[in-house]
Amino acid sequence: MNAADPVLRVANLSKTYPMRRTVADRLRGKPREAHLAVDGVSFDLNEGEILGIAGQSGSGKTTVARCVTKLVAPDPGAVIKLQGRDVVRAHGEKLREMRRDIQMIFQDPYTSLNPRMTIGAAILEAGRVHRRPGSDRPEEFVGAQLERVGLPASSADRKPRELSGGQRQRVAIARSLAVQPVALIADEAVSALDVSVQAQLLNLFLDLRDELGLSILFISHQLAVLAEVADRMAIMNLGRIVEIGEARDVLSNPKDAYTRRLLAANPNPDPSKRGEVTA
Amino acid sequence: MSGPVLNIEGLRIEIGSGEDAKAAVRDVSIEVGQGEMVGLVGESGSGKSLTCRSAIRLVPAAGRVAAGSIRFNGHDVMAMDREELRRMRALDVGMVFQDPFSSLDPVFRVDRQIRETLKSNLGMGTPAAKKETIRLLDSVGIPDPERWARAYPHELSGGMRQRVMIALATIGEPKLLIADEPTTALDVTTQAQILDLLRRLRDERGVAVLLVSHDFGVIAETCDRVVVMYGGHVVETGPVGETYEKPQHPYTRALLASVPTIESAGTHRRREAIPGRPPELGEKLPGCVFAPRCSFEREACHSIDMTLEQVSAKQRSACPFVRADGARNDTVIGGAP
Amino acid sequence: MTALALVMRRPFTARSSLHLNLTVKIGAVIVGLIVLAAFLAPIIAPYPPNEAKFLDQLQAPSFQHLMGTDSAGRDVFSRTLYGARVDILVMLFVTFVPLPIGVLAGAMAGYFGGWVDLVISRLADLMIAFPFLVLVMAIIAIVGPGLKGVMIGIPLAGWALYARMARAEMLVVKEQNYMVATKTLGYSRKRAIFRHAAPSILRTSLVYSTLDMIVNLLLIAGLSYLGLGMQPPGSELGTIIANGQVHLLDAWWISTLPGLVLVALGVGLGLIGDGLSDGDLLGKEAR
Repeated sequence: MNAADPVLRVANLSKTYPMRRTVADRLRGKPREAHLAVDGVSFDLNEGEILGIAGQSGSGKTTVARCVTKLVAPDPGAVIKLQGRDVVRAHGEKLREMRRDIQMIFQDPYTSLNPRMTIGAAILEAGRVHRRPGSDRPEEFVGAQLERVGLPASSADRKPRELSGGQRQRVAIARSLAVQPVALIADEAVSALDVSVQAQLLNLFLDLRDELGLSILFISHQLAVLAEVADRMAIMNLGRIVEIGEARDVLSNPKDAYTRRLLAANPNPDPSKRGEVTA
Repeated sequence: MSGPVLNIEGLRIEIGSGEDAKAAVRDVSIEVGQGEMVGLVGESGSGKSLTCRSAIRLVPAAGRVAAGSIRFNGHDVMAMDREELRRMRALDVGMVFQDPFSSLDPVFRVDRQIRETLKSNLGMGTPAAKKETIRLLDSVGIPDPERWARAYPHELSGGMRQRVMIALATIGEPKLLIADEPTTALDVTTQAQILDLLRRLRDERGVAVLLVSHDFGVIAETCDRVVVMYGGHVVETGPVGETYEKPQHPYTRALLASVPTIESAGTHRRREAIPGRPPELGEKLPGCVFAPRCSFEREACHSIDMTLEQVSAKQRSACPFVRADGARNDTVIGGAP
Repeated sequence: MTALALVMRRPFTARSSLHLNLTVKIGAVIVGLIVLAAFLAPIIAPYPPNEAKFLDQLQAPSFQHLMGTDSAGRDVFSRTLYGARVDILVMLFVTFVPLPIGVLAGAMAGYFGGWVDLVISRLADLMIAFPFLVLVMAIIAIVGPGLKGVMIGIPLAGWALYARMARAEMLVVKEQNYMVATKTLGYSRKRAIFRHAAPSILRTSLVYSTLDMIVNLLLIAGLSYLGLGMQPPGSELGTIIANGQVHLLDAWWISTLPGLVLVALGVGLGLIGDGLSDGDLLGKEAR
């Protein structure tokens, strides 16, 4: 791999979902209608970069994440390369290796951890499955992962339900870090959290990028959240990327009408800027 | 008639009974004047939802109003009998919740749900109720109301459902609308429209609104006054503008400092996040509930009893030590020892 | 979680777990006593179960014969103890042999979907749609009367319900983020199914198994009552009850008292199942 190559390259990514037909429609021989959730999306995620993807519900941003981790198969013709390796055609052991290298953090910290496992067991399992160095010394391994996300090593014996939403999200991150990935996908990873906790988590993502050199694909419907962390950002609408560029440029000088609409609708905490909403 | 529409004083709500009882709301006082739009902001566990629901005695079965008075238009809500309470809920106070889908009955068309409510609450006849249904849907900005009235709730988008909920809540020209996180489940553009609608209801029809949200931005876009809650207490109250410019209580300051903003794009400045986590339900902390996370914490914090004090012409704060002075974030520490 | 959600949940679980302890306890005591007595039958039974004393025919319950004697002068209490032992053993066999098979089949159908699901689900449908008694009787017709037919016939159909339940449960669990995470973390399917999904899926099946045990218990006794199960002179609750039927008017105890034992066992199991299903003894987790 060339040093200048992106960590993740996505080109011409589309995903069509067939719509359900009713029995009556089938009998009438009505053709299957298709819903184009993602429509020809291309982007690069560079090393040590945080790329934000913004869009409202139904914009296709989560489908992009699911295609990149191959939770769903993209339409033929898509190119997804992780450090030059082909994700689309990977299967079996190769696929598991690639999934290890690009980790996903989910929105809902209440369901992303197995309720029956202690958080230490969950973190250790992730390390052991992939035989990560150090995972043969459970206590140190788990302690190190927990401390890296700002949790005390002593919390390893606790069950997810004993933790707050923010703490659970930290555990989910620690579990992902345990497999030593090169990239993270954070899919609305801070959206369910309280504002004060949200800021802590955003700082954690910035720390992980700075300290571990992780590349992060950060998906959110909140422009302001992306403004805090993203180097570059892409705005998605109806399955397409309508605008992509340096975060500062996109947000301060939006080229696309849809981006401008999103910006106008963003609730501003400063009441003196009220009423600029033209929805 | 003058005086506030809603006046809650010294409210204490306990969860559980006997020795296990935990106070989820402690000594909370809130006033909503006629035609006023008041925001209640707080994080999870702050007690904001319980507080707003208590206004129409909608505290869940496990909870209990242990102390305090709740007055609606001067009438004691706690003393109302079943019929008075029903009338108040039906006619005088509208309620809008976060999740409009679970508040609508999925098996009936929209018009039928509104019509039935009109008939039972206002005693309307069918033809009048039909006309009124269309008028209500039109008034909350549903396009082509005749057509959408025939839809089932699942056929509506989230924003449309919330409009229907607001239509239901405004039946009988209520004096007060309580909206509990009405836009949290919606996309930002839809959120902006719903907030517009709430503001219009207030401006055009003089409905007082108590808007509950975890998002200070939502409150800032709409409200006149804001009440900030934390750990079951009101920590600060004042006009929205002054609260934003000069937050008095350290919690409000920290909260505002952690709200992400568009303007920070490209700066890579780390937010000053509030360390730790909010207290859990009923967690009893001596003195100020915010002290463990507060950057101004001192010995005396653990023995104060968080009463609101007038700190400027219109602002009141529960912190006796920290004062905002002059420009935002210019803090003078002092006051009574 | 908002305070409100906590409020809605807390006292409810507190109350139901108290309630759970009591129902489960009562059920466990009833079942425990009967099982203990049945398995200690060789020690505590006052007479051999098949010892006929023709002079003691149709004796009413007394201290000598706690449940009286039957028309052959056999001690009903002793026969009931031995009979209950047979019933309990067969019941456990026909319930817990199909359970893991059904759960595994259903879990695979739910997890993999596609043709795996198609084959397993249609097979399960077939077993469920087939008249159960006719199936068991057909098998008995092949292997001959006796408990062997019962022990083959009931599991043959019994796995299907567990498979259906496990499949439905798996479809729900599969969508939980922690199951999606087993994929994104690069875990094997085996690990995902057995380590992460199985505990939640087993729970429903275990709760249902208490109900299934009752049904099977009555089925075993019923088949024996019809003469298709346990063959004389062996004692089993169904056969004992059947034998006493002709004497229902002059010697009510022969059928009634063993029948009551059967009912008590059923009620005990029912109480345990009831308590488990609305409590969190088996680790139903709060989200």
